[in-house]
Amino acid sequence: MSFKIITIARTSEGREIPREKLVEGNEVGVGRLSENDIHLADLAVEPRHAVISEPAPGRLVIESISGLGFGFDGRTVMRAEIDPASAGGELRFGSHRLKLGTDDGTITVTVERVEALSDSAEEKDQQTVFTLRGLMPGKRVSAYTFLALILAAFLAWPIYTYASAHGEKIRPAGVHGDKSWESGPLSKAHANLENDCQACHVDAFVAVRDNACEACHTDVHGRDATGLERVAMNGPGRPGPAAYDHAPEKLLAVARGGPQDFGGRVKAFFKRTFNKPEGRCVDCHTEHEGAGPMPATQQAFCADCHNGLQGRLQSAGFNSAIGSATDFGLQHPEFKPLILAGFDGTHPVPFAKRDARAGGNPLLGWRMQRTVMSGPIQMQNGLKFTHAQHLSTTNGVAEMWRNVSPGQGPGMDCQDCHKTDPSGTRYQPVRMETACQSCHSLGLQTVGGTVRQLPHGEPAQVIADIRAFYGSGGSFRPTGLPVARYTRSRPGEVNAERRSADLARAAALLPGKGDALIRATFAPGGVCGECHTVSMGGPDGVRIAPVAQPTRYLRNGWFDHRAHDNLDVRGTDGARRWGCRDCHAAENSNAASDLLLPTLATCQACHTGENGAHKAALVRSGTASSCAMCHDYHADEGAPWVLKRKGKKTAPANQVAMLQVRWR
Amino acid sequence: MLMVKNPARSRRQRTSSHDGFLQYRNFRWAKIAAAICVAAIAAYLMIDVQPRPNGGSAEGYILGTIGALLILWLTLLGVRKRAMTPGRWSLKAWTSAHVYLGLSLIVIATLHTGFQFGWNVHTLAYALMMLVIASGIWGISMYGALPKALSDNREMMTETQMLEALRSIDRQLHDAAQPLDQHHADLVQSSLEQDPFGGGLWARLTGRYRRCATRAAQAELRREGAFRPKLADDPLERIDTLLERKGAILHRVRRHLRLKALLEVWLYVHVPVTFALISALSAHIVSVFFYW
Repeated sequence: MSFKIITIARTSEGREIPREKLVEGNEVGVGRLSENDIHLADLAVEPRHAVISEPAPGRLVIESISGLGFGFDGRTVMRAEIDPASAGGELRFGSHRLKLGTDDGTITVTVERVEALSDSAEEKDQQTVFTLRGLMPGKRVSAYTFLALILAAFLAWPIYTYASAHGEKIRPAGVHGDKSWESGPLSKAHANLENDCQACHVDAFVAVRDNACEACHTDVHGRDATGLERVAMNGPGRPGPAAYDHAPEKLLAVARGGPQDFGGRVKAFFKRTFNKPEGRCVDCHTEHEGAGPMPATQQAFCADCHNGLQGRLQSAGFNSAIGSATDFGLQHPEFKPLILAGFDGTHPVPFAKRDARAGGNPLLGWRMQRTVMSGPIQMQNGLKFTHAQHLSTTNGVAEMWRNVSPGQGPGMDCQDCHKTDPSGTRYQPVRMETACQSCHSLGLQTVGGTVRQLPHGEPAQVIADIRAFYGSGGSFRPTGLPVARYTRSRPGEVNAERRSADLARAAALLPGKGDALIRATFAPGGVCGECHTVSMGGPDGVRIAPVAQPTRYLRNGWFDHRAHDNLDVRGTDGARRWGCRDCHAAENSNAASDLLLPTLATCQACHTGENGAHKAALVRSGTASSCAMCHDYHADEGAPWVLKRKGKKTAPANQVAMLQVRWR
Repeated sequence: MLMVKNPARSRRQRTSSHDGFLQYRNFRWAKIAAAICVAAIAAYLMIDVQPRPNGGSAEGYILGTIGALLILWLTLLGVRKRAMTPGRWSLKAWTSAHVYLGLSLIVIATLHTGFQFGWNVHTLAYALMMLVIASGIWGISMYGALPKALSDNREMMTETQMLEALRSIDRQLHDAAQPLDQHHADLVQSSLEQDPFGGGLWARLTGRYRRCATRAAQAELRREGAFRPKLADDPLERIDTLLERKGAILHRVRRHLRLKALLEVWLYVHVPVTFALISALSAHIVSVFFYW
């Protein structure tokens, strides 16, 4: 019984060098110690690992004696039996492979090391093993991966979203790929379109057009309106934010003009090349600039057209009176108030329709006209009234005022007649009943302690009342009664009663039909004729010239009296002195027709333009004033959009400054 | 004679003074890039874009076009570096321009954004660009700081020699461990089996190998042998010495690997993210004109 042990070593070229050893006996030991018949210099092998024995011919038993198994047919076992003659077998001890077989009846064990003795001894590519290759994903692989992922997520998906929702009116809620294209949040007004890119970006590669805006902003009737038409169009009941109402499109086109400088021409070239038409809504109404209100319109946009506008319009053949403007402090046309230009006497509007007390419009029947305020303007409003007389502190009016209203100052003041409307923005028309009548009494007769008044505004009724006053209608001439005594008595109950008594006595002594009193009443200097222009005749027997008091003169600009409240100051004697006279030169107005609007220069004394640009000689106090402080691009009856936002945190700095300015 | 002498001297001078790509031509490209940045900032400050600065203004488009073209040109370094040529447009000049013009992109692109950022493809492109630039800055600073440390660590040893030293010590360990009992043999075997180049990216970059089998084996052997009487010719003593030596060699190799990794790792960010940037940039440009 013998075992032939063949140990195979390899040269560095890989050639095999077999060494044979014959071992006599029934069994051979396998282990790391050199005393073993099969000595494996392998640290993974136990010093005495296993024994291979042949208990019977043709039957080979391999058994571990170390408690550590060995590899047999790919598995680790403690014991294995094989038939070396027929099948043979292969064992694995650590890095060594033992092949069992027979050779002429002798059992052979072929021993070969099949693994390197250490990891470092294995074959290593020196080019890569010292680098990061293998430790990280390759540069090329990750580059292409990133490329594909980003193009898919940020290009293909948004385009798919666009294509699949193209033409839909409102896109369903959900996650849409093109949201990743949004450069910034929409303003508050458009926040509901946040998920609906195609509401504005209708067609691919086509810049946002106005018709996208008009889909919601439906009031486009102003597209071809001109100045005064537009005034008529304004007012309550407007259908909503307008898309066009600044000026007719053809005027706008001329106003923009061509680019003058090199930069402008380059810009225009690019806009043409990239299909971005000029004058679109979005030129001014920029979006995606951040959540919150849309930013205020900037003056630079106004000046883009209004600078040199007059010349451009005229050279384009428009007979337009629109002046040029760059900045309120530097260049602004004179004010052009819309004033009364006479009552149409040939087609008079009946008084009933003009009577404000009955809900009529006092301006009906009046011709209105815009007049350049290059100097003092005259406007006939139908009244005989002078401001200087009423504001004096030394004349009879003042004396009467001190009697009627003791302690209310040395003379009358503006607020005694002029009352603001509830908003404080403008002044209500002065009313006879509340403002004038305390002095200009219409008392006729005292009946049981009550003064009977002639009705204001109803001349036919006045005539009837006077005639009724004479009872039976017998003739009566108030001979001997001084005219002044009943046309202009001192105010107050006592005087009214005294006058009534005088009239009654005269009537008793001098019977008549009251014709003389009627004539005296309507005569110049009479109760009516003192303030009104009166002509005799007509169906009523008498005709009073129409009276109108416009409450707003500047139709395109906005002026808020309330914002100028801080001009209220007191005189040195502690008496009231409203700041009105700082702008309205009422004290020196001796003609009823004087229109006491302030001039441009008056405003410019404080309002110095957007960036404080000003004509230095005029300035009393600087208040930064952009165009938007008084004007709206899409103007309506109300305050400019910028002013409506005042006081809010997001209001532009110059508007806040306006609220804070204190004069003197 | 004079004529013969001069060219020789000038040639010597030229070769002796090393002109790196950062200092190329006395910082020519640094100056050009600085001039571009100053001009861009001045224009940004002087032009009052309403209602707020943004990439869609004329100035924004100009900056954006410059930035996009710059990015494409900078990417071309990857093509250009594979073809070395001398002269004005030498690779050195090109690299110098790459570095400084790349840095100027920080200013150009930031001004192009108008400081408006959000969760969108536009800011994604910007962020990727900044990542590429940051990795480039990292790479350059590593190139400035590490080569000396790398050379000091190697002590004239080549990588082949390092590998050979490892193999040699492993063979010696293997031989010395033969008489050991299985428990000790396993400890040595664990050291032999461990891949000296393994450990993963983090270990490579930090140089910290928590599961170093060599160190663990040595520690275990020492722990066990602490109270054993010293005998002459103890194989464990020899193993300890060999493990100690292997530890020293591993330390040097790992330091070498760490320094090389630090020199190299930025490119694994710089190059792939550049491609990510180009795709995001394309999406950015297309999106702007798509929803025009």
